[in-house]
Formats: sequence, C-alpha cells, structure tokens
Amino acid sequence: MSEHEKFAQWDAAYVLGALEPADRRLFEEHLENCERCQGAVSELSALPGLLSRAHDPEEVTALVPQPPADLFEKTARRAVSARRRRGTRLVLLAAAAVAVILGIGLPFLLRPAAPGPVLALQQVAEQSLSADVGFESVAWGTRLNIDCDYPAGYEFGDANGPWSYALLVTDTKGSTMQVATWKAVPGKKITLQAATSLPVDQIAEVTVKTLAGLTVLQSPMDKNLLDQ
Amino acid sequence: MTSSDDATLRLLHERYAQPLWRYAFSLTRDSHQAEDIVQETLLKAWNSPRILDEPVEEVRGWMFTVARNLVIDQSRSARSRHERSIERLPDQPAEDHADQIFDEILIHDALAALSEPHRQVVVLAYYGAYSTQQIATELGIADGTVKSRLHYGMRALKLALQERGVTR
Repeated sequence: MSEHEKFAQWDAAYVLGALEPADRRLFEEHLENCERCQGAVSELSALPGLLSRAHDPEEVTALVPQPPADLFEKTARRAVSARRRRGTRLVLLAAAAVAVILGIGLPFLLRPAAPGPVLALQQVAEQSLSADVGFESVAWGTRLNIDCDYPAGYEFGDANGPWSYALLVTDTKGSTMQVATWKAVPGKKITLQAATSLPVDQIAEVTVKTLAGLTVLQSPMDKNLLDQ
Repeated sequence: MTSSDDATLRLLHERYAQPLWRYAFSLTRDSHQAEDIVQETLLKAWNSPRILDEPVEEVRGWMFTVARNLVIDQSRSARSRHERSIERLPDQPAEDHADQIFDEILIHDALAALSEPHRQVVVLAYYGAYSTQQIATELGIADGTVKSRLHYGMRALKLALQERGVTR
C-alpha cells in the first residue's frame, strides 16, 4: 500500500476533528507532502461551519411537536371553501362574457343575488367542527345557509348526548343576536338555514358557540366578498 | 373540489407539510399559528398552476418564503395591536430567526438524505464529538470502516447541501 492509499480516506475524520490524537499527528505529517490529501481536506473544509448552523437533528426533533393528525383534512376543508368562493366569481365572469356576446345588459345578470358570498368560519376553539356560511340577500333581510361538517372519528358530545350549537350574528353597530340553534350530528355534513332582518352589508361578524357558551368558530365579514 | 385538485393538494401536503410545519413552529413556537401558516402556504401553492411540475427544491424555497412572510405579517399585526398596551414585546421579531431556521432545516434535510450508515457516523462525529475509535466501539465496526464511511458520507453531504443551495 502506498503511503497515500493508507491515508486517502482520513480526510473527513480529520476535518471533523474525529481522529484520535495519534492518528491526527500521523495524518498531519502526511498532509504536508501530499497534494491530493490537501485538496481533499480543502474540499470539505466548509462543512463543519455549515453543520454548526444547525442543532443536533435528534435534539430538534425532540423539541418540535408533531403536526396535528388532521392537518390535511383541515387544509382540504379550507381549500373547498376557497374554491367555492372562486367558483362563484368565475361563473359570474363566464355569464358576463356570454351576456356581452348576446347583447344582454350586465345589470340584469348581476341583480339576482343568490347564492351570494360564502364565508368559511375560522376555528377559535380546539374542535374539529368546521362551517361555511352563505349569505343570500332577500327582500326581508339576509338568508343564511350554513354548512356544518362534523368529521367522523371525533366526539361532538358527552354523557348528556350531542352538543348543541348556536349561530350568532353581530351587526356593524356591535349588537349580537342569535339566529339559529341545532344539535351536532357526528360524522355528517349538515345544512341548515337561518334568517336575519339585517341586510348583508350590515353584518360585521358571525360566531358559532356551543350552548354551554364556548366560542367555537368566528369570522369577521369579509368585505371583499360583498364586492363580488 | 375535483379529484385531481384533491390529489394535488394531497401530494403537496405529503411533500411539504412536515418541513413547513417545522419551519413555522420553530418561528412561532405556537402550534395554532404554525398550523394556520402551513395551511395557508399549502393553499397558495395549490392555487398556483403547474406547481407540481416545478423542481421540489425550488418549490420548497418558494413555500418557505411564503410561510416566512406570513409569520412576519402576523407578528407585525400582533405588535401593532399590542403596541399601546405593551411597550416592548419580550420576543425577538420573527425576521431575526427566519434565515437561521431556514438553514437549519435545509441542513437537517441534507443529513436525512444520506444513507443511514453515512448519516450515523457524520452525526456522531460532529454533533456527538465522538472520535473514530469511539464510533467504532459504539457501532461495533472497525476504525477503518468509520473513517471510510465519514469520507464518503461527508462527500454525499456536500452534494446534498449543494443541491439545496446551502453551499456552492
């Protein structure tokens, strides 16, 4: 074995400071006269500095909790309501394009307000319930179409039976009224309707509470939705 | 949501949710905030056409930037909400840590890309400060084998770091 062959694979251990003292002295002696090993060492010389920019991966893994198990399901639910909002806008755009071709006036097309904007309510408490609220302007005020999703595999109740919920609407002046109550149906998506005399542009916030008083979902009215 | 939309979202989630979660959690130290940031970032990616055709490394870089901006926005609006009642927040602004954590995640990712025998010796030698002899005893292999694994492992690591844009 030539002298270089003996040391050819010691470069990384040397750069990492992992050679035993006796090995290190031998390697340094060899290094003085071996250009190949000098080149190999300098190739790796930046790595310890880079590794120092990170903590021990095993320690970090212990510090960062696992993401919630239902992260994908929650993301997918947000995706559905985002797409629904966008879908409404696209349908309207397409209809407007057709209307231009047919020579129909746009105001005619835009006037029917149904189905109206849909708001995906934000989760406030640790519960897996999600809900979208659609706002439909009608002559007497606003019809609210509520889609509630109680994903399978979660408890939505206790020994006393399924939990009950209430939908509350807050107007732009700050007063709040209850517009619907219902019971949880675990594992199902349910649709219900509520009504308020408030016109949709005076609704400032929508809240879902349990009848025990815990706020579960809450969202301010998205002003951008009203402009659609 | 169509089934192809659904598949895209699922794939994005599989590829990126874990590193995004670690990034967002490290920046915010708050599970709720981290979760919100991961969801929003994934949805932004999902709304970008042909995202799955882009190279994984590039998409990840883009997503980390999006996530980081969301963290910064949130910490700014939290600060402006609190600035009247609290003179100085105890936490450092998120901006200071973001680059460092970004690097750390890429370095961990590069380490995770190594074969297990390579990763093991590099981590023991660097983070454990073990000598080759100590690693040899710990793993029950020859000292020469440790040196050889370090030699190939560190070259593989350099390549993995280059692929992730950490070094040239």
